[in-house]
Amino acid sequence: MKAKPAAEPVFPRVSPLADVALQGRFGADRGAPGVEFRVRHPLSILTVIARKGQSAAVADALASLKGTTVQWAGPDQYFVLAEGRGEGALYREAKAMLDDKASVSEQSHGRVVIRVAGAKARNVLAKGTPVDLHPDAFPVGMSAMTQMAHVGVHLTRVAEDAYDLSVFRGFAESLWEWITEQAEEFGYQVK
Amino acid sequence: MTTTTANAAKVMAQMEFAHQALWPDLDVTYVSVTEQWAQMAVAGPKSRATLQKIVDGLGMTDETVPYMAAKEITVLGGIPARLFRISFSGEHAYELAVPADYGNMVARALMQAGAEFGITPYGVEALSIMRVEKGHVAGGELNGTTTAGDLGLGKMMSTKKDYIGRMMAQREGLLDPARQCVVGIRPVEKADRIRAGSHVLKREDRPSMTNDQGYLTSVAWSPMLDMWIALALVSNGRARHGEIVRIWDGLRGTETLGEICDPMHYDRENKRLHA
Repeated sequence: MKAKPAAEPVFPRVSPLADVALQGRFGADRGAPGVEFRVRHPLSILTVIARKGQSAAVADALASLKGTTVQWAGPDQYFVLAEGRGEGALYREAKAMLDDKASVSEQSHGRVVIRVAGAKARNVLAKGTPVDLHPDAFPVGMSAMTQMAHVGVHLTRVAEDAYDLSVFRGFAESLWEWITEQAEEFGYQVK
Repeated sequence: MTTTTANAAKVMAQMEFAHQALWPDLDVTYVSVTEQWAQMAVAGPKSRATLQKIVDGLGMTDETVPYMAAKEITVLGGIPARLFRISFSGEHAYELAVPADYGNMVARALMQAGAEFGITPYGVEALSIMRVEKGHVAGGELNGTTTAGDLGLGKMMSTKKDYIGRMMAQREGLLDPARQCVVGIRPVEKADRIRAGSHVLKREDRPSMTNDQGYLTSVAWSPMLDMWIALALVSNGRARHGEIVRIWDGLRGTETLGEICDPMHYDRENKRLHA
């Protein structure tokens, strides 16, 4: 009988918000919470930047990456996200596929993604960003590079009333404290 | 590329400007990975022995990891890592980078690995003292007015190839020998205190800014030399080693005598660096 290959070691990843994003119901406590927060962790996150003359080729190639979300992050620049991959697995897959068409960089530990959802999600976000969040101006799937409370935020509308906020790791706690405070008047749930 | 923390954003902005405005034809991309890595310094004569206990599959020697080496390795049975042999403090030292979610775990593993050698965490104050002892320039000297030459790094300005700033660096004002450059300062009376921001004057001059020759940029109490020591920017400083000068603290109205010396106050033979 063929021996099973040794399993790849799995090391526990600890989010910078592990002791900060405490689960529970906070703020106004009448009725349903207006906002839900969830730290999406662990994630695999890559920055992909198309090299000279490869804009179209890279856009096509990324569309064929299975089980990933591809988000606009600037001219010829993308974030690629996936769940449930081993350490470095998405990076190796993307690098192999994109070869010399694009530069690929690991940001899985460098960025923190906060999911903000609910009837009052837009109200909370509007307190921080000057970007027009009206559904007509910011459809599902759209991304913007913006700032909230002096922190650079990559904002993506992922569903009708749900947004992902992606920030540099070092700013995550500051942004978390600010945005949850903005949600207090509506009542919020941390999942 | 790594750079001094305080100026990291400026350095990246400078590169982006050079790419977009000066050389848009260049096929190059860059992204900040500062936040992706948790990086820790491991320093001292037992640093190699400590790291060896957690590094996978690499026998660490002066040949395999020479001074200024950078290697991609794994630690603790498979965590991807980067190992650098570099030293901010002047001792035989390394920096180990791991993806940041593992930072806490790896730091604890290092503390366990080094326990038999008496490992201890050291903080920014200790680091700041050690870099002044070694004459390593940092924020106080890298203040936006000093050139590479002023900092004692003139040899890094290539004579063989072009680079941004090469032409303008030839201006008389940037080559004037009277320019302030980095030197060391020690009090003549060993027990005297000297303070950063104090101005340097000729011994015979009365304290006033008209006689100003420069100022103390960084000061530390040196446990190795058992005295206060300083780095300073002094006019024509490199030609004045050994000169006794007046150190004037105009804010507190105190003055004392100091000696201009080499900025490397300690371990000038770099014995501890290559231990």
